[in-house]
Amino acid sequence: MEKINAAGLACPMPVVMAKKYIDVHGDDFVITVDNAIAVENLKKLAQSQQYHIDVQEMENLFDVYFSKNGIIDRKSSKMTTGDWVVFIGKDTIGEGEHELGSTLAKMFFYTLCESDDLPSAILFMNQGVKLPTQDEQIVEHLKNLQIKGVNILVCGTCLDYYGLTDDLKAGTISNMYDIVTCMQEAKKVLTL
Amino acid sequence: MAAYYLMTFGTTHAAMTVKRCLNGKVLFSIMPTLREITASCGISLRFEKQEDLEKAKITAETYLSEKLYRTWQVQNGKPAPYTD
Repeated sequence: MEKINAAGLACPMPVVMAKKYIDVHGDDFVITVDNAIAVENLKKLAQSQQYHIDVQEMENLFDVYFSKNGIIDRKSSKMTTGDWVVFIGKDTIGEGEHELGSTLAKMFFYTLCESDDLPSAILFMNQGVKLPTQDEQIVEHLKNLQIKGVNILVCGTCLDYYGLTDDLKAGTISNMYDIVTCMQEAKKVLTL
Repeated sequence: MAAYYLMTFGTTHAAMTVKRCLNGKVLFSIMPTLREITASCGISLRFEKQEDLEKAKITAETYLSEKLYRTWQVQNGKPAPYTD
C-alpha cells in the first residue's frame, strides 16, 4: 500500500494529492495529514470515490487509509521516501553553460521521478526557486514527486527576492527554520 | 504503460540544436537516453504524440545530417526503431 505524506500541507492540498493518486493508480493507499479538517475533507473524497476509509491518530498525525474493498492492511503500507534530502541552490546542475545545466536539471528530476528510492524532501533556495516556478517540465515532475510523498519546500525569501512568489507552481513556500530542520533530520543531504 | 516516442542524438550539440528549435512549438520532455540505446549522447527528447515526433523529424532533417539523430517508439520501457 502506497503512503502519501501530506503532513504540514494546508487544505486543499491533501485532498488534491489523494484525488490525483486515485485518478492515476486507483488502488489502496494511506495518506498522512496533521489536522482534523483535512481528515473530514478526505472522508468526503472517499465517499465520492467509492472508497472505504479508516483513520488512525498518533502524535497529532492522522493516517487516513483508503481501501476499495474495506480491508485495511496497515502492515503493508510503506513509505515511498527515504531519510535523505536534496538541496537545490541553482537553476542548473553544475557550473558552466546555462543551457546544458538547465537540460541536466530536467533530466535529473525526470530520473528521480522514475526512481523507487526517493528523498523525503527537496529544498529550493536562491536561484533554485526558478525551477518550481518557471520550468514547466520540472514543475510536472515535482507535482508527481509530491504525490509520492516527497516534501517540496521552496524558500519564501528567495521567491520574494526574484519576484516569483505568485508564480510558484509546485511545492510549498517555506523558511530557513523548516529548511534547516529538514537538513538536520536527514541522514544525508545532497547538494546539486 | 502508454507508448511514447523518442529522438536520440549522436552528439550533445545535435540534441541542443533540435531542442532549441522545438521550444515553444512542440510538446516534449527532456529525459536521459535509455540504457538500452547505445551509441547516442545522453540527452533524449520524449514525445507523447506521433505528430510531434514527425514535426521534430522535419526539424532534425533541416539542421542535422542523418547520422546524428534516430527515432524510437518505446513500449513498456522497451525501445524499438521507429519508422513512419
